[in-house]
Amino acid sequence: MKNSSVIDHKCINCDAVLKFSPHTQTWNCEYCKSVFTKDEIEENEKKRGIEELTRDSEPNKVENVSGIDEYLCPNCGAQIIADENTSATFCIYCKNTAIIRNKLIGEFNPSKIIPFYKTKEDAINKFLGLTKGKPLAPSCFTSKKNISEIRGVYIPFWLFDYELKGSINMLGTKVTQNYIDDATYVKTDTYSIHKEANVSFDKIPVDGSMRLDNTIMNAIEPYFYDKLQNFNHSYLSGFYAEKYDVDSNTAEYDALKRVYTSTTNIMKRENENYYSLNVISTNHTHTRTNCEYVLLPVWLLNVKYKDKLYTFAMNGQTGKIAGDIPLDKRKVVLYSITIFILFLVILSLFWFLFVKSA
Amino acid sequence: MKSKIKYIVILFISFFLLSSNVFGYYDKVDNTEDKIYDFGEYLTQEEKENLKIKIDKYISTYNLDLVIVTKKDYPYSSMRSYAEDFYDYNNFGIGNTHDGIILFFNIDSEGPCVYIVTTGEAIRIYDDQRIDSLKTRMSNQKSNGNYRMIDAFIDALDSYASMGVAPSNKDTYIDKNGDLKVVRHYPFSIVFYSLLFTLIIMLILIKKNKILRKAYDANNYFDKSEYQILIHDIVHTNSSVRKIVHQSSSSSHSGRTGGSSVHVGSSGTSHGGGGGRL
Repeated sequence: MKNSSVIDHKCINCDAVLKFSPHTQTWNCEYCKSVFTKDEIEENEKKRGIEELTRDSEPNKVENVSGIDEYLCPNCGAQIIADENTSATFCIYCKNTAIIRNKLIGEFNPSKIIPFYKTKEDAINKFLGLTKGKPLAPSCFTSKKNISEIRGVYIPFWLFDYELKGSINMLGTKVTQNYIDDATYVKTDTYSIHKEANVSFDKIPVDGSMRLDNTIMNAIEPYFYDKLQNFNHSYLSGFYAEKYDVDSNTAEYDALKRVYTSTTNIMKRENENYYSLNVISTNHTHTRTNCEYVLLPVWLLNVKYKDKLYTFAMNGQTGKIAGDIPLDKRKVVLYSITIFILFLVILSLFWFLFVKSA
Repeated sequence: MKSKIKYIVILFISFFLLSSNVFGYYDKVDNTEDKIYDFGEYLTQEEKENLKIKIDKYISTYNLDLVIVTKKDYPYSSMRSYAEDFYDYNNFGIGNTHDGIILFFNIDSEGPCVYIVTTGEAIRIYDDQRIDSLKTRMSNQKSNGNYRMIDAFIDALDSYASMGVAPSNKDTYIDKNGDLKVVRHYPFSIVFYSLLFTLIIMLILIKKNKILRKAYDANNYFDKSEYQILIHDIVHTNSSVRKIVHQSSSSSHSGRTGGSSVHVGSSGTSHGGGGGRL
């Protein structure tokens, strides 16, 4: 079995590069238009002698200079340079997908993957429609020419499952009013509430990449996990991929903060017949029941506008896009003045017509 | 025959109602220049002449009409209606808004009582506080006789008229219908509220551009099927009751504008004033 540093996927009919199609969830040859299913791809790889990447696979020796790895393209032999976190990239000469073996084996072998369901065109169209309903956005911001880079990337994520024993102490009040003669009697009853409950959370995602902003990754949630597939490196064809550089113990901190907050909110939410409800103290304990390392699809767009770079991310499964749109300062001033004058005129008219003459 | 009698009765009642004014009874006078109508016969001729001189001077100085009417044993509860109707239906008052004042002086079984009715600009000059003061001035002369009481009334009227509009009515005016209105200055709070609403709307529009939101909870990943409440203790710790007494508004006035209580008479004219026992 071949054990090369870089893996690619070739068409068995014409030996051209195969790319995964999000639309059809198949592998397509751009030259001879052949289409292959997952089973056919696996069969093809067996025939070509390409090994399956697992946690138990032995790593290759690779030239590494200050965090940069060097590989040879299996298609054209050109040098491929990749940083230490890149697990799939492209040859800049022949555009062949280069899947880097060492970054996908052993501890870096993902257990699951959600393939791309949205294409590059979907990402561009979503971006172009971003400023709809946003009057303060610059008119020319969402223009194709502003997109300096667009990449489909498989981002490393940790998925955490937790079981919590939630414990909460609250102070609640109930208010009743009675009207007798010329007086209102307001009765306030105070209650001390203690609650304990079992609370479970499944597959809370935390991205395992240091260079990606967690806020952006949060903003494109959720992913639908019923589409999780067993990992196969073939899905990476035509896309970039990264391995994690934030381990599960570090990433867990973010997940726990969210889980503890939710537990308190869930336990508080059920007591809705109180006039006021204040949390006095909580004492939750948790058990991590599962932790999975997966790859999730994201389209990353870098947009250059007035010498500033803006990053947008689109969920490669659902199409949900996130990213802050800049404000057009001139529009902000214009809208402020217009709205102010409008209110001034309307309120003044109202006063002249109905209040002054009353 | 029966139907003829019915028509005659209806005609008679209509004539009576129309002549007596549907809502009240008043005496019709032929000469509105007299200004003093002493139906109660409390004043001698000399006293009337003395008062008339003061009244004429008052009218020419302040351009306000002044009428004195007296009666004996008139029902106290109807004094206001009588005074208003006497003034309105005898066409007293100066100008389009019938500016002026009428004093209805009456002595019944309980003693002297008065009702003072103001119309037009007189409403602004004689606010409720000044009306009370006029009654007090008259009351102070009770032991000196009816003439002295009315004389003191005219002196007090003159004194207040020389001061002009009562301070409590400085932001009022009499409109073309004779109604007392409050002068409403353009409220600069409109500018404040316009700014506030503009700020709220701009914040909403700016927020639309901020799509990025950090996730603070994991509600999307909560497994409802596994949720199980183990303990839910509720202990009643305290009870308190607060009483809020509602202030009831006075029902003795028809309405209050500025510093004067204003009432609309049967003729549709607005009047101020007040009355009571001396």
